[in-house]
Amino acid sequence: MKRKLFCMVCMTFLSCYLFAGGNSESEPVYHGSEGKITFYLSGPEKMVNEIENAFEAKHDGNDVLDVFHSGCGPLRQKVWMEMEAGQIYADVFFGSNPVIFHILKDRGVLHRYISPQEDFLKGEYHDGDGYFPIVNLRYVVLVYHKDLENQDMAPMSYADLLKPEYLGLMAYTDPAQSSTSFAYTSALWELYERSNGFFAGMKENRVLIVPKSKMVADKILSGEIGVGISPFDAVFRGNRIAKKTGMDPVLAIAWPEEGAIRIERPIAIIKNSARPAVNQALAEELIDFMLSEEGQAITAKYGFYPVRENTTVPAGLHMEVENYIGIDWLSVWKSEQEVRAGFTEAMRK
Amino acid sequence: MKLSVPGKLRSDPWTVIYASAIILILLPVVYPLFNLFVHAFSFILSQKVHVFEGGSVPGFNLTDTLCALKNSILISLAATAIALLAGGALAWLIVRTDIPFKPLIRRLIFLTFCVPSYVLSICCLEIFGTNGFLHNLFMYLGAGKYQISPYSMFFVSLVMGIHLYPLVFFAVSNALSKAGRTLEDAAIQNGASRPMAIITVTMPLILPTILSTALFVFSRTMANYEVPAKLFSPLYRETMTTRIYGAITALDIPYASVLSFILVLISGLALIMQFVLLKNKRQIAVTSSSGSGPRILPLGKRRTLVVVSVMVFIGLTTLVPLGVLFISSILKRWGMEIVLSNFTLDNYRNIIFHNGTAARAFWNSLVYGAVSASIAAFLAISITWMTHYKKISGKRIIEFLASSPMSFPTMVLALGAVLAWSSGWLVLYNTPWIIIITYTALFLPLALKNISGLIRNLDPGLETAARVSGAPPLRAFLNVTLPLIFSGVKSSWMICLLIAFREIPIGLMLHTTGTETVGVLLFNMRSNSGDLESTSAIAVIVILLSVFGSTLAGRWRKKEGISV
Repeated sequence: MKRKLFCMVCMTFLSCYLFAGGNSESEPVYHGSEGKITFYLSGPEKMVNEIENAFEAKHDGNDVLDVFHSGCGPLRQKVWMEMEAGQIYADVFFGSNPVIFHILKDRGVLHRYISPQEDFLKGEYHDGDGYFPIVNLRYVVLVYHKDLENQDMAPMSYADLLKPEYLGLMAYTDPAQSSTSFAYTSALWELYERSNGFFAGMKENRVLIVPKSKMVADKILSGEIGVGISPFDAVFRGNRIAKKTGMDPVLAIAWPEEGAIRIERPIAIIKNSARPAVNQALAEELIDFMLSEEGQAITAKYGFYPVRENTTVPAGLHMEVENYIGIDWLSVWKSEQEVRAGFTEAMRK
Repeated sequence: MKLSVPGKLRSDPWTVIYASAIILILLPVVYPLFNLFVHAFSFILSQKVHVFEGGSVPGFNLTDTLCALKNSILISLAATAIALLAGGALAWLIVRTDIPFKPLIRRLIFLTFCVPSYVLSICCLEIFGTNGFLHNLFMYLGAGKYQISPYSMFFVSLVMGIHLYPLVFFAVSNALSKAGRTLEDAAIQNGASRPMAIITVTMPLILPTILSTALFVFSRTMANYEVPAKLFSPLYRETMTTRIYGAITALDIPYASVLSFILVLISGLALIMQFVLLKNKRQIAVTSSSGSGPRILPLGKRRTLVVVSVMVFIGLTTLVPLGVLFISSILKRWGMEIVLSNFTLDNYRNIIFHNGTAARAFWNSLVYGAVSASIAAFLAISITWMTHYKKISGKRIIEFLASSPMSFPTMVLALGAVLAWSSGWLVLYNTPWIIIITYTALFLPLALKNISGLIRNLDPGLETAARVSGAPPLRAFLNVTLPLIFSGVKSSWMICLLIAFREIPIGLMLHTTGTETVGVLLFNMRSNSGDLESTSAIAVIVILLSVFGSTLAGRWRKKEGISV
C-alpha cells in the first residue's frame, strides 16, 4: 500500500513538472474570434469609450473591438506577464512609454506596419520604422494648489520642490508602479547628472509616494497635498471634472524652467502568425484610425498632445511646447535598473 | 460502523466521484503552486551565487527583502496584539460578566467583521488624512496644527487589528462558553481565590484557542496586501506582499515567485502550529464539556464605566468608520464641505444604473463566487465523505492538499494561476475560468473545514440503514446524509460567496475586459480616478451585502446547531 501511495505522489508531481515545463515552447495560437480584435490601452475611461465607439461606428456599429483598459503600469505588467508566459493576447497595444515597445521590438513580438496616415504627422514622427508609431505626447509639468499663489509659494522649477517650504506638501508617483513616472524619473535622473540627488531632496521634504501619476493631481484637488509633478493631461482633466461637479478648479500649472518632460505614447500591432486576415486588417485600420484626424482629436480632448499637423485641440492645450526635455528611450532602457535602484536608495534614507 | 465494502474502493459511483475530486484538487491547487515553485527554484538555482552576495542581481536586494520581511512581521505582531487585546477582553466581558446590551455588542462586533480590510483603510484615510474629518474638526475647533498622518506602520497595524479582532472575539467567546464552570468551581472549593482559579484553571483551557487564533490573525496580516498598499506604500516602505506586487510590476516574475515562496513558508509554519494547538484543544474540550455554562461575574460599581468604555471602543472602531464611509458616499465630491446642499444620491445611482463596469463587476463576483463556491462545496463533500466512510490510501495527503491554500496569501495563488494557466496544455488566462478556478482553490479549505465538521458529527448508521434497505450508495447519500447537512453546506457556500465580493488580489491580477470583480472595481476606482465618493458608495453596498449574506449564513448554521 505504501509503495502504491509513493508511486501516486511521484506520478502527481511528475505530471505537474511535465505540464509546467511544457509552457515555454508552444505554437502560436490565436485566442480571439474572427472579426474582433483585442485592444490593450491606457488612458482615461471616457477617452477609451470614445475611441471604441468611434472606431466601431466606422464598422457599422459592429462589435469589432474587445478593449482592455488599465493604468499604464499595470498594462505594461500584463503585457510582460503574457509574453513571459508564452503569448501576448492583445492584437494592438497602446499607451505606457516607449521602453516596453523597444523591448517588445527587440524580442521580435511586434508586427511592422507603416500607416499611410504617417504622411500627415509632424516631421519628427513620420519617419518611424513602422514598429511602434507615436500616437500622442504627454508633457510632465509642475502642478500646485492655487492657494499657494496667494502665499507666494508657486513653484517655478523642479529644483523649487526641494525648498523646505514644501515640507510635507508634496506627492510623487512611484516609478515602480507607473511607467509614466518611470519615464520622467529617468529624465530627472539625467537632469541631475545621473544621480538621485533630486529624489533624496524630495525625501527630505517628506514626499508622499502614490501609485498612479494622475493621483498627484487628485490629491491636490482634494486638498490632501499642495504641490507635485504630474502629466499635463491629468491636470487638464482634473480641473474639468472639478468644474463639472461644482468644485473650484484649484489646480494650477507651472511649465518648469528646466523644461516640461516629453513622453511619447506609441501604438503597436503584436505579431501573431495565427491571426486571421480579417483581424490583421482590423488591427492595421485601428492604427490608421489612431493617427487619423478623428483619432488625434479624440485623445487631444483629454489633454494629450497630438502628433498630427492641424489637429483640432481644445482650449487650454498649447499647440507647440518649445521648452521641453526629450528622452533618449534606448538609454533609459539600458539604465532602467540603475534609475530604479537610485530612486529606491533615495527613498529608503 | 463503516459503510460499504471496507478496505478498498470498488466500482461504485463514489469511486468515480472521488477520482474526479482528486483531479479537481490537483488542477486548481497543486498545479499552479507547482508552477510557482518551479519558477522560484529555477531562479534560486540560476542566481544562487548572487543571492548570497546580497543583491547583485537586478531587482533582487537581500537587504530590502529582509526589511520588507521585518516590516511584515512587526505589523503582524502589532495587529495580533491589538486583535487579541480587543477581541479577548470583549469576549471575556460578554461571556463571563453581567455587562448589559450583550446582543447589541455582539451585533456591532459582527458588523465590524463584515467590513473588508481595504474599506477600513479607506475609512482611515477619510478620518485621519490631512484633509480628513479629524483635520476639519481640528480646524473648526482651532486646535492648532494638525500633525497626524494615516500613512504609518501604526495605522496599518491598527486597521488590521480592528479588522481581525472579531475573529478572536468569536473564537475566545466560544471557548469560554465551552469551558464551563465545573473545573473553576472545584478549584475554588479547594481553597483557590476566583482570580487564581481563572488564571490556573480557565486560562489554560482556552489558551490553545487564543494561541491558534493569534497565529491565524498573524498569518492573515502577513498575507494582506490591500492595507499596506494603501497606508504604508506612500512612505515608500514595503511589506512582503507589496514587494511581491512591486516585483510583478517591475516585470520580475521569477523574483516575485521567490518572495511568494518565502511568504508561503512562513504562513505554512503558522498553519502547522495552529493545527497542533487545535489538536490539543480538542482533548481539553472533551474533559471540560461537562457541567453548566460559565459562571457570570458581577461588574459591580465599575459596570457603567465598563459599558461606556466598550461602547466608545465599538463606536470608534465600527460606527465612526461606517458613518464616515456613508457620508463620503453621498457627498458630491470628496473634499467638499459637509452641508446638506453637497449631499447627493447620484453616486449610488451611477453605480447601479449608469456605470456598466460596476454592474458587470457585481454580476461577475456573484457568478464567479457562486460557481466556485459550488465546486468547492462539491469537492469538500466528496473528499470528506470518502475519507470518513471509506478506508482508502492517501486520504491524509488529499486532505492536506485541499487544505493547503489556507496558508497561501491570495496574491501567491493569483501569481501561481498566471504562471499555470497562461499557456501550455490548458489556457484559461483572459477567461473567467482562471478566476473561477483560483477562487475554487481559495474556498476549498473553508468549505472542507465546515463540511467535514458536519459529516463527522453524523452517525454513519443512518446511511447504513438506507443501504440495508436497498438504496445504492449515491441514493443513500442524497436521501439521508445530504438533507441532514444541507443547511450547513448552504451556510458554507454563502460565506465563500461573500469572500468573492471582498477579495482583491486575485481579481486584480487575473481580470481582463469583461471579467472585472467588485474587488477590482473598489481598488481601481480609488487608485485610477481618485473617485473616493464612488468607492465609498461601492463599499457601502458591499458591506450591506455582507451583512445580509452573513446573517443568512448564521441562520442556516443555527439550523445545523453550529455556533458561529
